[in-house]
Amino acid sequence: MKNGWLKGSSLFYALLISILIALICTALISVAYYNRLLNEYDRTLERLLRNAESGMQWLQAAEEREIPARVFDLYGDGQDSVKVKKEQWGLFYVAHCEAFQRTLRGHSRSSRSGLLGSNYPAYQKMALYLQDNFKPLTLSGLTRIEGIAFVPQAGVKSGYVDGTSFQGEQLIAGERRLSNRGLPPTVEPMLQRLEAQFGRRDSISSGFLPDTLQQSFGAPTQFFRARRFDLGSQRLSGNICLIADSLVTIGRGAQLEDILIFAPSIQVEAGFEGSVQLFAQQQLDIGRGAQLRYPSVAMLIPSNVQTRPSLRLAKEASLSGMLMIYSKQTKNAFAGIKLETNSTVEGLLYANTSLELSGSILGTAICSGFILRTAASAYDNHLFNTRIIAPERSPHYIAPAIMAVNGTTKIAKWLD
Amino acid sequence: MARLKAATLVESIMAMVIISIVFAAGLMVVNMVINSNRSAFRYRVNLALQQMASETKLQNRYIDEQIDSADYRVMKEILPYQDRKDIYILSLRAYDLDNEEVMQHRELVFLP
Repeated sequence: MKNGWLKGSSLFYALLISILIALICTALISVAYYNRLLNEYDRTLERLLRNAESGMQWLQAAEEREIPARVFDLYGDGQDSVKVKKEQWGLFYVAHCEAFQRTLRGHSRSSRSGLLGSNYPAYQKMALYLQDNFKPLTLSGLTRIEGIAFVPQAGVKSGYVDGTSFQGEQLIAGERRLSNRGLPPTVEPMLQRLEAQFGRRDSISSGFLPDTLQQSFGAPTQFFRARRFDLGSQRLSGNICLIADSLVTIGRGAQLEDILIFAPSIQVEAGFEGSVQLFAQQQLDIGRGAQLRYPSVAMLIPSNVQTRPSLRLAKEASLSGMLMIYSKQTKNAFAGIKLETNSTVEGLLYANTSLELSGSILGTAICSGFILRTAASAYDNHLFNTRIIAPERSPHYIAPAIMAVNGTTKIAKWLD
Repeated sequence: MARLKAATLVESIMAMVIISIVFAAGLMVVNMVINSNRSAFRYRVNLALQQMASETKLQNRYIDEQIDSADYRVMKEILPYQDRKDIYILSLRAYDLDNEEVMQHRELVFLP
């Protein structure tokens, strides 16, 4: 108490409470403001993602085989811009679309990438296409062919191999049609591009390969070239291409996803698991029990007619995607592809040479002929204890784009 | 007992008035921000449009139609795209009860 006055301080407290309420109100207004801003940003991102998806739809419908990176207005009203790119990636195409928009926070972007395969449903029901070389197809043992079969005019018959006759109920469980003198066409420019990759010297990133590398398909391809690569425990995924002058070995500890490998010889050791596209000129050997997941490719492109190139899928190994041999010397009599007992190819097998088949094909086999070797003899156009079953292939299977002669493609795998 | 001089009643009344004014102003501002935003409504409409687009693609229901809801309606249209025969624009526009466009959703669909 001073000079007889008692200090009440109500006004002081009132001001204090007012400031407190004002602060709370400011906080609430800020929350509402930022909430609205976040909603707008969220809707922008949603729209960008939708535009990127739309760009991918546009790329699937595009008839051009390759599209250099270009920006265009999606709906022609100046509001939705996308940057699209389509280029060959092994036996597939890789499509990349980036949608972008200028916002208060700078540029917002959203992108999608995917491997494009052939949108050609005829392969879904086809089990066999055997080129017409005026020789009949002879089946024996527990051979089973299920699905549409294109066979030579000479027909299909049962026969004896090592004293064993055909033991099935019907020779072909499915519709039978006549094949032609040639094989179904492939996209020739893709093959030429693949052949050229073996000798590629430009745009090589380095000869030194890091232990771990992940490269987005939105970024430039990382090319590595060396005399040989031994992939023991490397983790490589995405937009990476390895080119070797002699040999590439892939150990069971290697983790490979979506990359390309080019070499005269490639050896995949037993037990390896991954998704990779392999291209060899002389020898491609996939070891026992190795599992190459969809969309994998094992392809032999013989460079020299003097050598005897071979592609072997060892016992219990499996490959989902496509196994292919494309020899310019089509009259070569050697067995280009050998599938050993209990090995499986799910998808498509294409050989313009003879095929030695003891394993199973869950899908389609397209070849010039079959060869069967026993201890006693070798038989032409014979199949023994073999399964070629089209309905057992996944209904969602998309064949590699090298079969997309009609031009239209479909997403085989989303990337990144 | 000596009589004490004080101003606590006046102070208290002033304090109450100040607090009331500040509180009322704050409440008004917050209410105005929340109501003007319409974010909850737009959020709901946005979700509905996304669901309709997904269902259209899943069911291959590429036809023009109108979908009515309690407080909005959606016009679905399949529009041609640049003279192409295998690619279309799936357009969904939502309107409120005053017939004002609330939101638009459009995307390209490839129908080989």
